[in-house]
Amino acid sequence: MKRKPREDTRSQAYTLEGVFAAVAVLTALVFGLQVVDVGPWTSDTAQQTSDVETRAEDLLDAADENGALDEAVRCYPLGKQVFDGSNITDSNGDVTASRFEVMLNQTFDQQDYQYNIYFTYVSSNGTQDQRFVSSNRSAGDSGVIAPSDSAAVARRTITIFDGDYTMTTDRSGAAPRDCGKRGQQIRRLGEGLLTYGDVATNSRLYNIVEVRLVVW
Amino acid sequence: MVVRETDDRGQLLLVGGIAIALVVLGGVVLLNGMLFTDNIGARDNADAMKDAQRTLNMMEGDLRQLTERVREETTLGNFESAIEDNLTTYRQHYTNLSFDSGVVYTDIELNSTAAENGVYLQRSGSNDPSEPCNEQFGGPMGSTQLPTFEYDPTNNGDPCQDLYVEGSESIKQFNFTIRRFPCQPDGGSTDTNLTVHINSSDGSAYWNVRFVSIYTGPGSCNADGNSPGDAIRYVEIYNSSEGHITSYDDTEPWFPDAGPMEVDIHDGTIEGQPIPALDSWESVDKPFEIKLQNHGGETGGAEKALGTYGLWTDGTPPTDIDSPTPDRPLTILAVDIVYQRPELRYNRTIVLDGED
Repeated sequence: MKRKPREDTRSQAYTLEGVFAAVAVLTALVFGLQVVDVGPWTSDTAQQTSDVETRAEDLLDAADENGALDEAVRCYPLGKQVFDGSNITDSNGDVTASRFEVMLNQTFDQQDYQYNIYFTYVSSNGTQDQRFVSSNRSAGDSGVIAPSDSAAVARRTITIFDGDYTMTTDRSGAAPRDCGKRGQQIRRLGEGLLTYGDVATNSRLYNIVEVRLVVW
Repeated sequence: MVVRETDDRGQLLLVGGIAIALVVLGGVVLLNGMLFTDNIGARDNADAMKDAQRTLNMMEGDLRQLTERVREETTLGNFESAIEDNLTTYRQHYTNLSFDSGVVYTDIELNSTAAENGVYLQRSGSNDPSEPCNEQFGGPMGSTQLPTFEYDPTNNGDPCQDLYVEGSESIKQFNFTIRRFPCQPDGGSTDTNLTVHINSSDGSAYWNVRFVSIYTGPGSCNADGNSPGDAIRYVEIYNSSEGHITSYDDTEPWFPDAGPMEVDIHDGTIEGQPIPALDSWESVDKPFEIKLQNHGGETGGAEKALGTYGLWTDGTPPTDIDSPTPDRPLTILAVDIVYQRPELRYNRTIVLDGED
């Protein structure tokens, strides 16, 4: 008996099935790995960075809520050019630092964290300028200490209006605090006295300053 | 001879088994990492959402402050254009700042649907003395020519149409400059006064402040309506719970016995002096009706009040009043804030009504 030629079209079907199965599996794998919570598998460093970032954001939010951050921004540079949370008391042990520095001290300095603070603002010619306003400098050349690879970054914007006032310090008072005394109205300041210029002379807006806190 | 089929199905079974194992493994990993929120998303999406909410909260705070400052320095007539200019400036700078900080785009747009328009009582009346009351109004609030209410020397006692607004839920501004008090002869039967009413729309409560000048001398009030030397000015305040609350006259040190009087009902001050009773209109249940009545005497003289007022409220004018259609300028601003980055786009509409 003549053997019937074997029909091998099923192999083509098997091949197709295999390809589809592989595509399905690969898609599931790619999607699953994308969304997987790698928290349990991350290193301690990555987890710590995430915690520090949350803490930094909370500090900026709290400082904005109680006005300490706004005070610090309006205090720069006429009232204070450096914000240093590591040294907040005078020789008598009285707290003389600004409220923002006290918060930095409680949140980071006491936990041995280092940080850099930057003020980024719009300059009069429309470009963005940045000022380094913390004191974390190396002893030798006073260059800024670079943060580590695992540094956390938090940002918050502060809007300054024409009707706002600068903040200064009055050492003659009974309990002097940095940036605790109201100064001149910002709209009446001459050009160049305040680092951030008036970017909108025809509106109540004076400038927008982004406070960036880098912590490690 | 039996032809045995090749057992290539075994390979298929092997592959299928491995595939199923991998799918199960992937499913476990997927379920392990998913965040079960209203919008199930990856961790990156959750971080982006958190950043979006934080950024929008900051912007909302800034916009509220900006609106408040613009409102303080403008009047109803120019608030809308001023706030638009300020928002444009803020938007430009904030968008550039946020974009330079990362791949984030923010934008602010006015939402005319959610915004509210108030009532700006402006009447461009006429000088025709034959018209009842001859109330002359003109000029936008805040300009050098404020709406005025004047006497009509030819009025023979016909009741003046009251100016009023109904359905008000809030008053942003309500102040008067009374240049001449209405003059009433002492003992006369005519009730001549300028009365400002703030009454609840359901009639359950009323509040009013009355300005009158009582002339005690012989004769009658001067023809030109100026209070003569022996007239006494009064400010009287009434409400539904106490009736007559209190009166002030020119024995008060701050009370001008001649010349204009500045009254701010919204702030509760007369000549800059806080008057607690003047604040008591706020206890009237909303919505309320605001009415301005300038009563005149029947005969002679110029008994009605003369001055200017400014009223900014969210109510509506009645349709039966004989006046041109009032302007409906923007009073409550609404904006859409957009936050966009590769992972998501987040919108929020906020109403900037000046209330915290």
